[in-house]
Amino acid sequence: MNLVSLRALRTRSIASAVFITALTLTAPMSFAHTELVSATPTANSTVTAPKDVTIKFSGALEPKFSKITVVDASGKPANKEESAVGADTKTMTVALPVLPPGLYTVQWVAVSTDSHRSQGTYKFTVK
Amino acid sequence: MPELVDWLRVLTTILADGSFALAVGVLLAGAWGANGLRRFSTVALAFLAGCYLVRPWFLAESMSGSTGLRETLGLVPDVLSSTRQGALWYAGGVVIVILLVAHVAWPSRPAIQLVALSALAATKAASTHASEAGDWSVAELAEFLHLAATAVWAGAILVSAWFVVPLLTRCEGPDALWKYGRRLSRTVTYALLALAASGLYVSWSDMHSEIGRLWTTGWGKILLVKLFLVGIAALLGSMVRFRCLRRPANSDRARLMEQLLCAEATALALVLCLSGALANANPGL
Repeated sequence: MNLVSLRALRTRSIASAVFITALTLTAPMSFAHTELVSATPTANSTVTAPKDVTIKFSGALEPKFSKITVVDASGKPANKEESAVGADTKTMTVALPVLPPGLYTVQWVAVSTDSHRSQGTYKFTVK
Repeated sequence: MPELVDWLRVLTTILADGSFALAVGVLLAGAWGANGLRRFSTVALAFLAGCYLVRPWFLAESMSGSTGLRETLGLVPDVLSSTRQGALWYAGGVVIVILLVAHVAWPSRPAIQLVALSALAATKAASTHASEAGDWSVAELAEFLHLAATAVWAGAILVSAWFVVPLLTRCEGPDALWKYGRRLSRTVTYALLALAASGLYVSWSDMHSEIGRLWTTGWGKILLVKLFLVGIAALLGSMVRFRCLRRPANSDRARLMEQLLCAEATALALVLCLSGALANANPGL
């Protein structure tokens, strides 16, 4: 390999570097990681007044920063107690008072032990 | 769209990983006979410690979702006192103090710094996605190997290409360069094998065994570009080995080796940048 082809190689390296950096900067980035595996009551279900809402996640949770809030159709919080993470560290539960019939929204925030935060909502109806 | 704090987090990760790799590279180069690298090690360790000090703020921001500076700072004590990341931060902080003391007080005993850098890699492995599999799990061990092998390869090549090889070429000639180069090449080959094996495992675990995530998610696309660059760097490294070091030393080949190492160092610097982005990205998106 002579010096000219080495210069060409270096030029291509720099061009590739610029291209890849641009590609990296435009790639979507997010910091959420733990995913919802299952929830009770399930999304969009119609149930008799549940005693609690329990959500199981794919990874271990940080109890201090993870929470579930249940709000009624007017957006008012329906749960009186704070949610808690179970002994398995992957399940979060919030106890509920007796809910009157209506549409409720579950708002959850899950922070995994690797510090990534994810959140979501789903609805269920009490008959 | 990512916010400013997201970019700052990625930038800090890249700076921390880069300075970690340089610190490892300086230790290795010193063990292979290179002199006069102490000030580079000092700068690398200063950057490493600086990045480490601001980490709790990024943790608080990531965990709380808060973007207000005062509110986020107010959550730092909660992060440090009641989360796994907080406990790991304290453990890593102790290791960094040992590293700095060893650098200042026992510069002629690189083994202490090497052990401390390994311990730092272990605390970092325990704070990544791999922690989902639990402590002392195969996933965490693979992550540790991956971080250590990346630091050995990238650090050794960056320090050699930017500081050692130009000095050896100009001051000591091809024979000394060949002696140094053979040690470098042998170590890098082992690091590359460890990197490939652990990288396959870590990536497969992060994808939750869904290979489709490679081309359907931003995380997967970054990983593909990183793999491409690793391939380029490995190709350049093999050219150094087979077109230079396996042949008799002379000044033309010394110049060729210097240029190939420069190109390999560029590719590896970009690999470190992409690793920083991957560490902060969600494999699911």
